[in-house]
Amino acid sequence: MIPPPTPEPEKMEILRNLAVTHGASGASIIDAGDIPVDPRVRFKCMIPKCYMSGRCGRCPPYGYSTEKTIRILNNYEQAIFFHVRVESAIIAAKSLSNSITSGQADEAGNLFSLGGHCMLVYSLVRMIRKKAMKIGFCRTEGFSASNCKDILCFKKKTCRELNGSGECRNPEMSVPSMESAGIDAFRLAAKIGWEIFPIGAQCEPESVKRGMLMGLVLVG
Amino acid sequence: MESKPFVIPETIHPIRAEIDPACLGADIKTLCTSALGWGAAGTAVIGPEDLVFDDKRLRTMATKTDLDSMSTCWPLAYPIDEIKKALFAYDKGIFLYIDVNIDLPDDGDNPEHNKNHLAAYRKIHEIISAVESAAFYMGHYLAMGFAAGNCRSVFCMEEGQCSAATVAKGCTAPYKSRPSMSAAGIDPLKTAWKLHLPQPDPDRPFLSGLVMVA
Ligand code: SF4
Repeated sequence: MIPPPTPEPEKMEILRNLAVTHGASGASIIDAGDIPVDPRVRFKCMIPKCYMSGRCGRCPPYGYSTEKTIRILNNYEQAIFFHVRVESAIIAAKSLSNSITSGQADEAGNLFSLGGHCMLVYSLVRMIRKKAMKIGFCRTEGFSASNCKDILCFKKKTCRELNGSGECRNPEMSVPSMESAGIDAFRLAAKIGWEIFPIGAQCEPESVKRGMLMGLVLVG
Repeated sequence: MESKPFVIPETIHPIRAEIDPACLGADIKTLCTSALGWGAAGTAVIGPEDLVFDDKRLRTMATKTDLDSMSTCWPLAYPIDEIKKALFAYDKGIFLYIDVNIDLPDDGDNPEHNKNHLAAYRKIHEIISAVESAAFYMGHYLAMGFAAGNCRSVFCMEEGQCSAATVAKGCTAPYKSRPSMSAAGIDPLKTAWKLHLPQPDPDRPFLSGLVMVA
């Protein structure tokens, strides 16, 4: 196989800058070969079972298998990896986990606030991909954070790709999350030196400094 | 000893880029002590090579299409080798069991109405989810727990079907319920024999669970 060409550093810098100027709290240019893919990551969506597993076309057991993700990564040389910071008062709020699983907004507004941060990640992925094509890259692949059902199809009862015509309602915006595709975003972030905390439903806002949502765009 | 609810640490540390094997060993020791405190009768530190798989069962699961019993049969839609591959990616795990001084007939996936049976199954699920959560907040975010028995019989006995298997809903007890080891194709009794644990007597009920840690 012919190895993918190395993207020009100036162009990569344009994309990295784009992420930061449009809302990312940090962004790095990384080698696609450094992106860890791990079958355990996909299984963590199912054991214990995430409320969205099996309900969204991009979430396990659907979506990209780890083998497919590895095949995709092999076609690229570099990527833009970015993060959007979320204050711990929002991401580790007591009521949040119940609001997420029930889809009922909480009084403090944390559900919609987190949704806004997720939407920003989706928008940045879309923006970087569009810009990449404009400045001469010929293909891109994007990965976001969270499931697209809650973010892009919140008002719809079911995922159309899964339960309807088989066609996604938002083909331009919807991309798989890194974790759904088996990409170990936590390890990748820690390797780069970003401070990332394990935040779960039992977490308290005081126990972690902050949360982080991450996005990834492969360009080639 | 009765199982106690898990309490998260006051300060949670950032995730490390690499886990030092010595550090993993020390954390696993702490988790074993916690498990005993939460009601486990015994624990053993294991590697994935200690797990005894029942490949026939895995194969049956992979071809099963009965959604109603899905929670017993996670990971239903996965190719046979996937779950094995994932389990073999872990360095270490904790195998634990509880004392069961009652008869525990296999009721399949029927609702479990006997209070004593229910308490035993709840206990193993609660200890496993507590150990898994503790490992997660220690920075072992890929920790994965397996309990025993059919979670629908234990947590959703009043429901008509498994809520997690119904497309529009999620699991009703995501922080307590875990798939069984058998659902992942692991034979708990043979694994316990391989580990030379004192408990396994084929004529007595044996409730065990597993938390893999990375
Ligand atoms: S955007 Fe909507 S229709 Fe498309 S995959 Fe996600 S949930 Fe399904």
